[in-house]
Amino acid sequence: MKNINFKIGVSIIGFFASAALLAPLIAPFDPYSQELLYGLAGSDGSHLMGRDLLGRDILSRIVYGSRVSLFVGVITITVSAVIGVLIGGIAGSAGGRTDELIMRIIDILLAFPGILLAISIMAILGPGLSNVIFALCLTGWIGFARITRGQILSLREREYVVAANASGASTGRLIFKHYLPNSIAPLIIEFAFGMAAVIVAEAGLSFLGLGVQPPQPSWGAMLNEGRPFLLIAPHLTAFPGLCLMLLVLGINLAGDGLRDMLDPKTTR
Amino acid sequence: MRSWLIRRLFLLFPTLFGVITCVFLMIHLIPGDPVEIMLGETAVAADKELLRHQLGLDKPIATQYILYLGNLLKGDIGSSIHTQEPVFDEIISRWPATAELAVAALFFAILFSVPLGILSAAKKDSVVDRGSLFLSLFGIAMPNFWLGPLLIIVFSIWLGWFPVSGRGGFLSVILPAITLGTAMAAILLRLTRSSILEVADEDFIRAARARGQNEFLVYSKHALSNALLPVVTIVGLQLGALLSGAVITETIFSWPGIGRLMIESIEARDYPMVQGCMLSIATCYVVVNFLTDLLYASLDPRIRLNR
Repeated sequence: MKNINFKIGVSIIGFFASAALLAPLIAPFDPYSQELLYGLAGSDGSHLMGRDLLGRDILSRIVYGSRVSLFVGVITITVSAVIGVLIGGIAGSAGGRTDELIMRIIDILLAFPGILLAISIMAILGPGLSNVIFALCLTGWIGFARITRGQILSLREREYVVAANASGASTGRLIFKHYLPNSIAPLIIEFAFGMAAVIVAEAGLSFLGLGVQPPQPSWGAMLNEGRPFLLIAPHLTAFPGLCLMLLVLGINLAGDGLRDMLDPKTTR
Repeated sequence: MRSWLIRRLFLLFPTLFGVITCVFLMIHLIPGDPVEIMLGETAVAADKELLRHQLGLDKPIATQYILYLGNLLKGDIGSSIHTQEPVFDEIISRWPATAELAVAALFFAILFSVPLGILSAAKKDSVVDRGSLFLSLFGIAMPNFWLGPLLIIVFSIWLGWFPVSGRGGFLSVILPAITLGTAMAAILLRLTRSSILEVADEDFIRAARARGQNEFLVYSKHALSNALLPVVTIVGLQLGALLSGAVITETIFSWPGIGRLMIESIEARDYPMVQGCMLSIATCYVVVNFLTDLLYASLDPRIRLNR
């Protein structure tokens, strides 16, 4: 069951990653090409998922939209992981006032629930892909920092760490040689679930009109564009939402599988 | 318990103070001239100066901060730049709608997930168990900005059972509550199941069975009361997700709550209103988390003894 989850998850991610990488080769039409006469048309032989208000091919826009979702997901979570591990490493190994200060900053950032802080940052900076990544990184590092700090606190008293400390190992050596290799499993799991959360958050921001801007294809923005036409053209909303759900499902399944493989204590 | 409470309260204030500072700084982080962004490039110079003065942006930043804190203590968080109405009054008028939606979503999530979680644990590895795990996987993966429109298509447009949008009466809250509560229900379902399974082999469960109690009573009374602690914690933590999810759900269903107000204010570049919304949502979240901690500590004495 565990491995099946992981395999299904990785297959779904692989499917969307291939679509994103090979978008120019597999997208049947130019995602920006408009044919106003055919606006909101349903599926036919050549346009399998139908067309949007401006007559653009929905399948092609979904294929190109996968690039946005995966690009934002990978970049944001990678940057967040690097920042979070560094900050958590500093907090955990320095202890004392440094640790206290970092934890208070984290408390303050955590006081803004979910994507509220990202929404506010986007309201200030204005929409756009780089601003989306910045806004999501602002809170994305917190999970990694807390995990790294927690792991360091629990590892600090282990004999091999005490021995390394006594033999004069530097803080950097302690972090990279001892703490990080022993914290890698929870960090990988956080990476997987964090990526799913980031992809949903990007789509949510674009849905609210605060993220990726038209005409660039993004699943969240496509859902928003389709909202006024729910009654007459539900395909505008159905397909981008289905793809988003499948990708998130795939990442969650892979994350579940990873957790089961890396953390045998987990009960399901 | 009292010293634990004082310590916990002591940690609450720096967090709230940090939140207030972040919200204050928001308007100063706007690239360029915030007044020009709010009024537009074509606004006349006199209007810009008037607004700059109204917002206090013509004073040094330290003075602005002290004035902001002073006004906050008096319950004054500024006025809307469009309606000129006090932000506080507008926010207070919108909270009941958000609270109604959040409570309804919470109610839906608990009502759906806890019985199904118990059933799933009681019938482990059965069709019911696999079906409920499958449901929870989809519930977690399904973004509310897709679920909402789907529910509208099926239940409002095709079947005509519920209104498409707006707030008015019991029926109007059902679809928004399901939209907002589904992710939470999915998480609670998995958690209830695993918490029950963790205590299922404990002696007190076997003793209850040995006394001849029926399975329903064994699970609903003995197992559930001992598995409740993580469920309560997650309910508390998920209230934050409900508040941020409300921003999107209220937008989909034109629900006149604080989230909708925030998005409307962002669209209108009414920054004092956006600041007010952020401040009120974050404060509410911090206070709810504090209350969750209190409840958690009262349920499990080990927590307050360990800290």
